[in-house]
Amino acid sequence: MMRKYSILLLMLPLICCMSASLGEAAVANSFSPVWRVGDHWTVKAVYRSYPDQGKWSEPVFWRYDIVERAQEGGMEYLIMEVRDREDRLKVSSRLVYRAEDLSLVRVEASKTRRGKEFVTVLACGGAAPVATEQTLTPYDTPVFPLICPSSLDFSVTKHVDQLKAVRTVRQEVRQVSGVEEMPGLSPGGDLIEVICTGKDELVFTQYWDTALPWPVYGENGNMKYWLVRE
Amino acid sequence: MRKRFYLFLTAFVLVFLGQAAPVRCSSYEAAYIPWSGWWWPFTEGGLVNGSGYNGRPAPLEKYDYVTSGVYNGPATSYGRSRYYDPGALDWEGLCFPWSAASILEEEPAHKGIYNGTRFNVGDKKGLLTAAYDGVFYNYYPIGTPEEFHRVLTDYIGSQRTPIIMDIGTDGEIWNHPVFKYETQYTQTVNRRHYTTTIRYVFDNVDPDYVGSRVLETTYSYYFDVDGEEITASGWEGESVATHPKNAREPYPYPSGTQGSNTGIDFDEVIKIVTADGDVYKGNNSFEDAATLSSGFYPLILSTRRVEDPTPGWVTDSDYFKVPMNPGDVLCVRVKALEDDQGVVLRIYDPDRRLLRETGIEGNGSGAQTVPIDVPGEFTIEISPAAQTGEEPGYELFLRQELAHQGIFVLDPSGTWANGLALLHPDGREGKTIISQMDRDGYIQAGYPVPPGVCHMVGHARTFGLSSPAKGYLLVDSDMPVLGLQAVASGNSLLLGSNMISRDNACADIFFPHFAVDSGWKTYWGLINIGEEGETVRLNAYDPSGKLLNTDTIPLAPGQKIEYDAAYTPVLSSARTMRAFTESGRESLVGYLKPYNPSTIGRCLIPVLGEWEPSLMVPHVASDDYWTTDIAVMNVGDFDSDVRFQAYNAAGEPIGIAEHRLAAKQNFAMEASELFSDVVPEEIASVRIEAGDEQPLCGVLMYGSRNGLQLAGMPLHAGGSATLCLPHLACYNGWWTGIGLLNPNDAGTDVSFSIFDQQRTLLSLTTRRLEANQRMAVTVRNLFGDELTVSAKYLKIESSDGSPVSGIYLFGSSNGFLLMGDAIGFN
Repeated sequence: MMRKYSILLLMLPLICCMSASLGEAAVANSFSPVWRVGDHWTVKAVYRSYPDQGKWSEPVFWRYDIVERAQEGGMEYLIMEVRDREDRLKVSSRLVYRAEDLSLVRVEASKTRRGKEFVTVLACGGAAPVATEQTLTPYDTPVFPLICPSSLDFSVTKHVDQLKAVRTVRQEVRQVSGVEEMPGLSPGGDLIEVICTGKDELVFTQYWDTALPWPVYGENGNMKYWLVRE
Repeated sequence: MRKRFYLFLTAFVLVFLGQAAPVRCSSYEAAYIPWSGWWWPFTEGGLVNGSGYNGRPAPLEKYDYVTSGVYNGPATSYGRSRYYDPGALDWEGLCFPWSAASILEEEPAHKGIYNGTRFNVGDKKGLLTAAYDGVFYNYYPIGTPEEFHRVLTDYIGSQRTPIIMDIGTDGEIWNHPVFKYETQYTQTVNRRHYTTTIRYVFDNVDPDYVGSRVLETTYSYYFDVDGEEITASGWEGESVATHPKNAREPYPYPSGTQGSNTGIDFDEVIKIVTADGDVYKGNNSFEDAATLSSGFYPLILSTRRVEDPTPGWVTDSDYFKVPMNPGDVLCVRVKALEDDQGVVLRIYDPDRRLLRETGIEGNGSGAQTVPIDVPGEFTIEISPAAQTGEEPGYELFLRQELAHQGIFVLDPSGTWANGLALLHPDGREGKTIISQMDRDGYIQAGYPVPPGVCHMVGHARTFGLSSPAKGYLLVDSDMPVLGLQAVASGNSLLLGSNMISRDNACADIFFPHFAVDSGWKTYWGLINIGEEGETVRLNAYDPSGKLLNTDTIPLAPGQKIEYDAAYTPVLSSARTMRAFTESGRESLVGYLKPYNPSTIGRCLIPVLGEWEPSLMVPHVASDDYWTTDIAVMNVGDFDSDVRFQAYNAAGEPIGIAEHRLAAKQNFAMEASELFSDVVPEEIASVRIEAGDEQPLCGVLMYGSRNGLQLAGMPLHAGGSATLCLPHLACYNGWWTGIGLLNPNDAGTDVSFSIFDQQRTLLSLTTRRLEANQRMAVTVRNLFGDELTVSAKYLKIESSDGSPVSGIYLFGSSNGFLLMGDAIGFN
């Protein structure tokens, strides 16, 4: 499996270039957010709530903080902490990104049940889109840089006990404008749309403003979230 | 050939071993086990109507009651629209919010009292279930075996937290919290056949069930593997059709937010759910006895876990102490609330000597009345009738009957406000307690008046007497106490009277007039304020005084009845009534509430066991605006010529009228008609005398001719050298009028004194009242605007000790409201 990832990674620039050249005559648009220690922002999120699958909860506001740039094994990592703004949910996450390419490599999700804290550590492997799971804190992460337009397939490995289940996730990136494609978002300038899909399902969708550190809007199977302009 | 054989043998052994021997068997369990609870099927609607549980009040009704004061409040209203649907599918209910609650919240394992209401375990679990309607969740579809296996691995195996799975089949949804799984597989070449058993908590239990009833279901599936990678998977056997459909992970609400039921405050639910036992929990010995005063106490005998000699639960006794003085009476009633869970009531003297013991069966009641002859703290013990490890609920009705008692006969509910004024005219030492009684004579609440307070005014609700059940209020005090009540609804309805002293209770009372003609209606009420049940005989008389009907009614101790005279069978065509106890015990208090439905005027008239050959009307108001009606009954056994003597304000006789009244006959007439030869405005007072010493009783009503204002009061025989009006209404659009008569043959100086709340004299003024002179004045005119604002009560005293007689009227300047009574005659 490692070999497969390696090949994919090696081919990534080439694939991106091909997609860009085939898609539009314009200059390829490559984007990665810029995160520095001390940066922070707020994200509003809503969740599915019982009993109606189509019903969404009252909003929860999450504060994101870039708290540290750390070195480990010769690599640099950016540490992002996410907790609800009023600290009412007793749910938080510590997200570890590789500084080099902003790939999410580890999630430490913390929650409280009956007064006791439970922490889950999820290893993400990097170099593939990561969808939020096992927590309420939105951390959907595409593969950066986002190249407009592009369509890339990635192998995502999930651990099932001691086994692995591998699936393909396609990340499609394009430039968009217009509110109809950005539910819940006010009209603004051009945005980068990221759609990650699996075999039969949407993994997540995001809309990025290149001037902002987090998608202005995103959604996955369990939540919708908006960057709060403060 | 041999080589081929060995190859075949090797392959056979490998395959055989691979099929026969489980390669791996693993078991994983969450850090805690969720609790079982009822799933509240929509076809029953038990959360809103108690169906399938304890009936009314249902869990949400109890919630509404403790939070908004009514059973049919917003939580129930929402629940009725969402949790009750007789046409729902028979599997539809609240399994998901129950599952979420059972994962996220500690199990409510004990009954608890919250805001005076008992919540059983099922009530608490039901409230948590309703509160988690609308809970957040993360959703994980389960289509493939690896999705199923992965959810188990991630949540129970890795996080060690339970997860909700829908294990319903045939299109039904059955969510359950899964907390444990065991998995094993056998492998043939590259296919692993898994057998995974999940253990989950079951919801088809009694709502009061405590603990976790566990079921298990086994699923079969396979993974095709290439090394460590799953290349294909599928369900096997019955699991193809019966495998779980999805999993959901619930999340607690952020504090300050709530679920779908907008009538539920989540934090309030948690307070209710965590209220274990009663507020006196821990009072399980003489030393730890909780101090009580008069009141109603919903209580629970709590349990504690013991390990020796046999592990189990033990139900402890509750202990309460009540400070008492000689001459007081300790009245205790206990209702056991559970089937088959009786209790025992014991009362001990201050030296902890057992005085009495009463066994009370499950769902039964028992009472003890203990006259007190030594001062000190008496102890009440409530113990379980048997040790079953249960938590019997019971209600304790406690009243400290003190030396001085009074009764406010009305305690209406709904939009009516019950205004009270109490005065200790001689100062205050010791206790004063106001008790709210229901119609059955059970105390509902008690309010100990703070020490040192000699005068107080307020609404019953402001004193915590917030459970009006159309009963009455009792006042117990160590010191003499006067009072009056003003019962009002809005700005147009008012009726009120003096507090009736317990000393006025009697064995024989007469209702001298039922106003039932010309559109009038009259309610009549009777209260047995004694400690024994009474058989009360009712004799109804027609307008000529003939006995018309008789009836016998039982009145339990403390019981109150109130009926519309028009719908009282015994009173059909009757004009008066006698009520008396067969026992001869002096335990009856009565009242009349006449009103005219075509107007808004109404009044309250205490009916006292007081009759004399001579009665006085100390004030007559008869002009273009006011009328004064007088009703008199000859309660004697013989006919009598009754003489009515009218006086003008100066005390000069100005008219006489005589009417012959047969025994039990009454006479009712407007004063101006009674003395047709006299100018109505000149009639100031009336003296009524039975010529042959037959006893009389009567009532007096003042009203405005437009019917809006009405006040009534009983007629009295004489007066007193000192009169006291315990409340003054002299500002904010109110006036207090006084009619005062010197019924004596000689003049006297009369002093009027007003006091503030601390019994400080604010002002004193003196007037001369000649023989039979009547004075009619407002308090404001007596003392001026400035002083009356801070004045709380009024004393009237004659200088030479001769008795004077008076009435008061409280009226609103807008011409709608009026009430009144005799001054200081109770």
